[in-house]
Amino acid sequence: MIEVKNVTKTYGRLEALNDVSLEVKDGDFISLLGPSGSGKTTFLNAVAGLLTPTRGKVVVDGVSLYELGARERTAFRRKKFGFIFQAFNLISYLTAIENVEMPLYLQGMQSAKQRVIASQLLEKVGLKDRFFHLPSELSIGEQQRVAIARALANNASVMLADEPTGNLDTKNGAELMGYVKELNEEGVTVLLVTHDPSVAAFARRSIKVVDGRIMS
Amino acid sequence: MRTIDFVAKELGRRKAKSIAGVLCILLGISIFVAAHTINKALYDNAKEQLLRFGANIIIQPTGEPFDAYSASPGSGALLPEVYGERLRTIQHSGMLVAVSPKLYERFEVENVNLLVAGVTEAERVAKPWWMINRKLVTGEFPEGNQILLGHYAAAHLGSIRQVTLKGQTFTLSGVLDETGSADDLMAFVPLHVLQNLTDKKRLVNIIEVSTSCIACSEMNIYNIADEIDKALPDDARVIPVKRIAEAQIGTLTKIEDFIRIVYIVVLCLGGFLMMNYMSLSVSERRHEIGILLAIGMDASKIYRFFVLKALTLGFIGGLAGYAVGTLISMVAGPQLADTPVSPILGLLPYSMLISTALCIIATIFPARRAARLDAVEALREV
Repeated sequence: MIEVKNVTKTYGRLEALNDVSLEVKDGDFISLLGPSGSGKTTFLNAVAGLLTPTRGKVVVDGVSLYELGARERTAFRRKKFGFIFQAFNLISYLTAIENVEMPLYLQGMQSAKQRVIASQLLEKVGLKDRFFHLPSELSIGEQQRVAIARALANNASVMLADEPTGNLDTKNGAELMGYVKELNEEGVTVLLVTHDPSVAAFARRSIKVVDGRIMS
Repeated sequence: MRTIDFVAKELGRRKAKSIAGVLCILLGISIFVAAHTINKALYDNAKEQLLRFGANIIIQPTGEPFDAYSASPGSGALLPEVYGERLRTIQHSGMLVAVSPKLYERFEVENVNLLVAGVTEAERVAKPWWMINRKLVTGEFPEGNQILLGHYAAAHLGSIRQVTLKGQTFTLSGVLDETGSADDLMAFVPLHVLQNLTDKKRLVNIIEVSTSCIACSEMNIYNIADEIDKALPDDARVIPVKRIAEAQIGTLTKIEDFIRIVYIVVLCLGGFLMMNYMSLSVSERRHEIGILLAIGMDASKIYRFFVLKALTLGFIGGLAGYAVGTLISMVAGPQLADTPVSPILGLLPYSMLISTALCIIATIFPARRAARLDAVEALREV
């Protein structure tokens, strides 16, 4: 379970998050819907342990993230969270399979085992014949599927998705959301940030974020 | 995937940038290798040239200086020949190229007053410029009852094949080409033959010493002269030939000083270029570092990644720098040093060591900066 308790994040006089609280139960699928600059990505980063709040705390499965040291917090993130970014954020000089291996390598897994798991994941997202292609040799949709396979690699129990369909056309966007929904049905908690109501509609619960506050 | 694979893939698939990194360090190392290789050739050449001034240390009996030309020892004192052998016991005996004991005597030959020097094989080593018909003296060096004549001594004696000294006949072994020194007016016979002839058994007038290490950083001929002085009794006087020594030391020290400055400048340049390259590498990859931090890469692993990358570049740069530097020295060296230049294989481990050390030092700050990046800030950058 994720508990966000009275989190405030300020940058000088600007309040990116203003006393935000939220509870996300295991297996839930929540979308944070809001316009650009509303604070939803800041919220996601705070949940991921990437952004220390000015006030408040984030507790994940009983662990208060910002009471951990930087190294422990990174290790926690590595085990717990999977990330899907808007810009896919694949490493440009690594092939599809190497990109998927990356979280496994960070966990200290043996190379041969990394390769087996990464192959299975790429097959799962329909990229069996694209293992050894660089991101530049893949279509946008294929790149996003590699990003999903990478997010799944560490067997994360929480998937954090920041505008995952932002760079995709309608068809690829729908396909991606199909994968995300499937993941959630398998028991993965999903926290998704979007400005698109049609994407937010995939979630079980949709929450509006305006000016750093949760509205509903 | 392992860290080394990660580094190798980055270097291998971003070839242009990797080559730029290697070039940064290659530049410094190749100039270092070329400068050192040419310097050694220059140094060796200068040493050989300087040795041609003659011996740089002279041992003679205590008293007035011995005048070889008139062959009249001021004090009439002689030295035991065995003193020469004692020089082998000094600490830096390895630096002695030739220890040449000499006995001089004047004879009347065919109405010519001929100065004859009794010499050993060491004289030939000490005078590598001795030539006969423009070829090095080898079989013509006098043995037994043979005599070798200086250029003008032979001219004064005319076309004779034999020389009689105190009733003993010597066969002419050869005539030296002109040397421009006192040797041109002299004749040379084996030392022990002259000692027997003059009844000065195992005695010499002087012992001339040529040293190889004229101006080494840890030792110069003044130090060696001191060591010799301590090894010999008080009746021997050890004189470093000041004029020659100072010319030799001055010239070689200047070469060494200049090259040392070149080393420092080029290695600093290499380090500076590498630091710039690594800083640029970190700046260019801020977004990527942000991704890695977000998906759970430790700051220490990012630090290790950059250091390993520096090590790899240093290793390749050191190897390539050695090869390029050696090639430059082989091509440019003969023109600059006016002497053949040989590769120095012993420089390879030093090149690798200096190169990797420079790369690591140059990477410490950029790598630390990368490891301290804020993931959220870095992710915002495209």
